Amino acid sequence: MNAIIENIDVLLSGFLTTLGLSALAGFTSFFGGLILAGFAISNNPTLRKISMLYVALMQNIPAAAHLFFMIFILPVLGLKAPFFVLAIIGVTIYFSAYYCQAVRSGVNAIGRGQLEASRALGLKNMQTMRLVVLPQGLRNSVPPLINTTIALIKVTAIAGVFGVTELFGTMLQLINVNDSAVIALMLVTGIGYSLITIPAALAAAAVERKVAFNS
Amino acid sequence: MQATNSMISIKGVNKWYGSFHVLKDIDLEVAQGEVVVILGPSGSGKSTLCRTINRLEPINNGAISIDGQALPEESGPLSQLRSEVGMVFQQFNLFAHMTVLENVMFAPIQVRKQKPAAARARAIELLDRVGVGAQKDKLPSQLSGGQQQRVAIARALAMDPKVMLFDEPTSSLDPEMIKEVLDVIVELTKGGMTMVVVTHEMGFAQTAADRVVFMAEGEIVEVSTPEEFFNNCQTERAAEFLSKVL
Amino acid sequence: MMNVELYDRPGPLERRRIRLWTLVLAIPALAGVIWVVTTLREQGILDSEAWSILTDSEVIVSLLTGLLATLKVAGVTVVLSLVVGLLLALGRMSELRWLSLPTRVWVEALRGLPEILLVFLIYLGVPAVTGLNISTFWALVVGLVLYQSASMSEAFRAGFLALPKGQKEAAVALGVRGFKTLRFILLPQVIRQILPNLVSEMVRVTKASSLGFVIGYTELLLSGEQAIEYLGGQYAVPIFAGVALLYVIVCLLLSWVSRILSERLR
Ligand SMILES: Nc1ncnc2c1ncn2[C@@H]1O[C@H](COP(=O)(O)OP(=O)(O)O)[C@@H](O)[C@H]1O
Ligand SMILES: [Mg+2]
Repeated sequence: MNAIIENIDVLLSGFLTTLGLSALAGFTSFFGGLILAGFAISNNPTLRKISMLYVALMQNIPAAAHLFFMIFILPVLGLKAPFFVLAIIGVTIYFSAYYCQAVRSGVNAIGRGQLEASRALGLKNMQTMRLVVLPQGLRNSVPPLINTTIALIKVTAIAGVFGVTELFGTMLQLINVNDSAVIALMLVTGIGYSLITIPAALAAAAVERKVAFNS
Repeated sequence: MQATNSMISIKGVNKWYGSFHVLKDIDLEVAQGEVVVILGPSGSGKSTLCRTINRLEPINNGAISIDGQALPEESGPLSQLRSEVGMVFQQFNLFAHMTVLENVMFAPIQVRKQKPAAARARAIELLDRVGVGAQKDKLPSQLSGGQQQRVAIARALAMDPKVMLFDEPTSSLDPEMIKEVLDVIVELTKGGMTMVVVTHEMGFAQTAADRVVFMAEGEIVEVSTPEEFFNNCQTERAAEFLSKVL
Repeated sequence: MMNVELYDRPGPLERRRIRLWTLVLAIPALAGVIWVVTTLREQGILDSEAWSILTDSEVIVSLLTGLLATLKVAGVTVVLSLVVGLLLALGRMSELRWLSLPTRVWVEALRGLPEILLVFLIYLGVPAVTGLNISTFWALVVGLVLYQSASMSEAFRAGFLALPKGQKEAAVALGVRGFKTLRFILLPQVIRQILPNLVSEMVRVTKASSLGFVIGYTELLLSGEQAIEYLGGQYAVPIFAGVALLYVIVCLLLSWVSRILSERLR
């Protein structure tokens, strides 16, 4: 217990770093995912293939391997940057693929009848995309987008073993010097993550119930 | 030569799904103001034919033209042509993210560039005409099937189409709602609209059609007036079909 | 591919316009590729000598041994998670509140935690509390099972809820009770239903098993790291590429199996 009280400020700063890392990496990943999703739903077959190839490759390489590459291999190549920045890039390369899939699944869930109705009324391809596909598709995508973000927050913990002092990394450092408080430190860390992920999961479930259009 | 009053002209159309020949040498002319009802067993290609008329289904060969204009291959001019062809689907296909009123105003504003106020006034008029004016601010999912289909008809009419295509408009409705939708369609036939209607409602075909087209296995087997078709059909296949449905 | 056709089939003019756009976009893309390739070459990363390390039999053997360890962790984890997940699902669906409520809290809480925290909880926590040593293999497996079983219990529950209600009633009417209803009537159907789901969980677990790297269990990623350590930095990129490719191949194969299964079972 003492280990927690004495180090509450360090833990808090780790928690805030987790929040910051998640927010920044989440933002860049979401942005990357939107671009990939744009490729995936474009009418250009080459762009669609590029998007599919990217997702198939990057999604299937484990997060730990992505971070390993950024933090251990890039410096060997002479590229040096703070761990925090490298972690953001590594997470972004991985999670862009997941955000892309989240948007795609939302678009795929649109009934083909919606598209046919729009075409039959004389709307052009781009109008159908902008006025029918995107409003419904993005709305369908909200729950998977939240769930992807939850997964991203949990994955940022791996950056802790690669030298980023976010919540999990902070915990590891504290365990090193307080080996009698292992369980307490892990409990507090777990609570820290739950404080973010559980409300988000509840929100995703609530949105899912609300979003469902019945067709 | 094409008859001057031909509104829809289908000539030598063939279509395959892979190796499956869905439409076999289809020829059909629909005159201005004519109501053509397409009958036939399910799987005979009625929907496919109906959907080729506005190129929701592309064809492999043959030619289709509407009001003398061949169906364009490019999507720009195709959209232009489609805006003059109303279509009503079996599954209604109202836009799920828009209210009833927005559904009806949508294409006039986006495609015809009408002023919202004008589009709105016209939409309300049409919704009242099909008897769902009171529902205008609801979402489609809050309406019964019969109400949704009537909104879908109003949505198509809002574009002042030259032609209306109906693909089994009452087939997914509960029996008690079929009449309210058929009444709206019958009303339209009286207004001189050119219509192609795929349906299993024999009563409707008998009273409202100018001509009946009977399809089986991707072919047009028989074309005749309703009286002739229902009382004195020429082919065995038609007789067999009628014995099952009547 | 997309399931819905988002665009009308393009006409000849439009196809030409699309191809033109592809060419226009290809110019900067090509420039980018050339830049990357020259940079990599200047760094000596494209040396064929360095890449030929991937044909070295010792390297191949050590990476494949790593892959085998990865698959071993994944396989054991999935099987255990299946059993624990089923128990959790039954617990959560139980009519006994003292059973269903804690199970529910357990499942929700675990699903909100990072897997790496659970792996460390076992790896450091078990020795700290009990004084017993735990092997890295079991620390990894148990940590992953804690998370995966919670996640699979939700799949099981969805599977049970999707069963027609009549099934259970018919079983009761036939006099088949309790455990037998479950074992012979409900479970086979649920397993059948969620089988594709289970295979895609295998993909998740295969990737998650790379956490063995951080606790020192020599699976694929760690064996790659050890090879780089041993051979030297100039081999870092080729070896990493080999490791990444193995993950991609295994995961794509599993996803493919899952897709085939879900099509077959439909
Ligand atoms: N997209 C498709 N791909 C392959 N076969 C199809 C497709 N759409 C329809 N068909 C087949 O074409 C035939 C005609 O279908 P359809 O025009 O819907 O018949 P109908 O409306 O007369 O019931 C059916 O046998 C159907 O299975
Ligand atoms: Mg049909």
